Amino acid sequence: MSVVLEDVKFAYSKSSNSNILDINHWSVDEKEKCFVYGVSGAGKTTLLNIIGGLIKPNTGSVTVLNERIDQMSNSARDKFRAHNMGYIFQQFNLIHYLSAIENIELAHHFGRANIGRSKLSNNNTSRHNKSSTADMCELLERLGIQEKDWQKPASQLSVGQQQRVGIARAFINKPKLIIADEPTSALDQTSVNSFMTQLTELCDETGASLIFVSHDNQLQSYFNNVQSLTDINRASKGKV
Amino acid sequence: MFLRLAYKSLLNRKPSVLLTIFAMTVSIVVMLGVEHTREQAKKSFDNSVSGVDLIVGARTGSLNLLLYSVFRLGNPTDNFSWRSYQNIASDNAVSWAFPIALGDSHRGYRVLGTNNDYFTHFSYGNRQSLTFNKGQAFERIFEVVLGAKVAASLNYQIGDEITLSHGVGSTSFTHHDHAAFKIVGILSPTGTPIDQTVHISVEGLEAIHLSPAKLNAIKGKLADVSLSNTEIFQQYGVSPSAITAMMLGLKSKVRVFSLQRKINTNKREPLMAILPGVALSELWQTMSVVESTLAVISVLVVISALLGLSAMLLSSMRERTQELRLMRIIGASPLFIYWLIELEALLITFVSAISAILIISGGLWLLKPWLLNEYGLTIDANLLSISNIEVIGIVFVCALIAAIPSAALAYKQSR
Repeated sequence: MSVVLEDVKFAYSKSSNSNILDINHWSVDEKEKCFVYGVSGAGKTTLLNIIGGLIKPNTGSVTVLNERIDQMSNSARDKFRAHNMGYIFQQFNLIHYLSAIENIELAHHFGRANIGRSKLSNNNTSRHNKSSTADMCELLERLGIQEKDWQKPASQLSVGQQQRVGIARAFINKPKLIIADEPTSALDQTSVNSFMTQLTELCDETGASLIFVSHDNQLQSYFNNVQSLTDINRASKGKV
Repeated sequence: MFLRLAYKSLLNRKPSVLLTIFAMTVSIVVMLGVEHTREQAKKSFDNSVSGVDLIVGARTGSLNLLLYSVFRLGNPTDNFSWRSYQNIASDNAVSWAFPIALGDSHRGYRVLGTNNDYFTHFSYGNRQSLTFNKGQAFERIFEVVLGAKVAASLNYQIGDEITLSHGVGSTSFTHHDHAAFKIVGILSPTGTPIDQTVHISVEGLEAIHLSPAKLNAIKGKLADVSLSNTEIFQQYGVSPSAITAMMLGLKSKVRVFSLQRKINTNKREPLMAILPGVALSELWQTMSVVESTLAVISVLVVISALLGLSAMLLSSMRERTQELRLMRIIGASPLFIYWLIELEALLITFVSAISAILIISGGLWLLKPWLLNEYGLTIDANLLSISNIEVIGIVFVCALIAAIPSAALAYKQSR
């Protein structure tokens, strides 16, 4: 299992009883590509933030890659996220004053710093380092970013290019879980198709699970597990 | 990576960062400039005289006597008699003594009448004796020894002849044209007022003020090498009439206070003797109000620049919310973000400190000749003294403190 949520409840203010999320049981299998459909305000981003460990649920357990992320210390959770998860957002995927390469390097830096400290010796780290530069170039080429754009500040890239660099950034640490939060909503239809193809292909190749939330039903065809947030979230049922 | 991130982030906010750097640079220039000038001026003054046990002059303020005898600043209150000079010089506690007679000038440079002991006993800096760059000390009445600066700026060589002017302005109306002095020696640079002094014997100074008839008679005797200056004077019944001050060294330092009292209580003539070190520390005491005022002002200037830095960083936090959130998601810890902001503040301070040092060093290098000419101050363009490094270190610590509000805010937001 990649992700298992058990009896998770979350409300932004603890005093009120109106939960944003109330999930009895929900899980995503390994190597599964899961599409979660929901309208704006249904709690899609909240769900992803709980899975990513950016916020803690009020009750319940969150297990990601067989580790209880809700029980980790703050710094352990930061390391776990940097090493095991890749994030892709609707926009602002990149630090705009850094180049494409530097954005990916930064993500790699945080991912590597975490392994370096725990498992690998210096020797292995440097080998890891070299291979990762090759990985970076390969990823960028594969995602159709031309070499002349690699050193440009991210702010000078088109939205489509930025989103594809975002994919490269998300995959650089070879994560086992990719979390995508409406990454296509700022793209036109042609870009959406190539973006989705590249994203799902990379997931298949690396064996990463994908959790993709969107309000756009038309993207369903790229996934093998499609769910509606209203079906998962008892809180939204109660409201309707 | 960390450094590059901070650097690029600053580069991204170029206008406000540049203005902040500018403000910080100006403030560090003021602070270091004041500190350095103060230190160097003090050193320059302290270096101007050493190895002299007592300075004797007509009764006046001790500071005044120090300033006109050592630094040629201001005008002597009064002269005292040659007879008193001889009395004191022959006191059995005195090891050596030389007179200082001021009042004439050559092209704006002060003329100092003295004797040969001046060149052997006067020392400056850390007990360094005077040395001759070219030639040697004067022997005869109409011979002159120039300070390094005088020779260099007027382009004089050994063997050239110069005439002196009455008074100390560069445009004197009374010239002693009838008696030319031959340059026999040029001193090595000392970085003290000596560099700008024209040295002649007291006899020479007396001679040019004699009546033309006597002067010519003395000139005639000069060819006789067997006679010393004093002997020539004795033959004509003249002696130096009065001198401005005298400096003396003692056989034993323990007698300095008894001799000082003896001179101060001399009934024949109102004289006073001062210890140069004591007078110098009095000088610094009177200057300390000015010093501390300047120090307070420069600290305030630095504080205002640091507040500017703090405000700039804080106002940038709003536009950086997205960026910092993204860093958090890709694995940056809140501490990383805290230190990123701190590092940005340090980078700004570093660039400012470097530019400030360059500006001051460059400025001093350009101003050095002028300061030496106008004020006789030698200021070292090398800023890296221990106290300056301390000052810069304190500015860095303050920059760290100034960045705390923004860094703490970023830290709090990213938790």
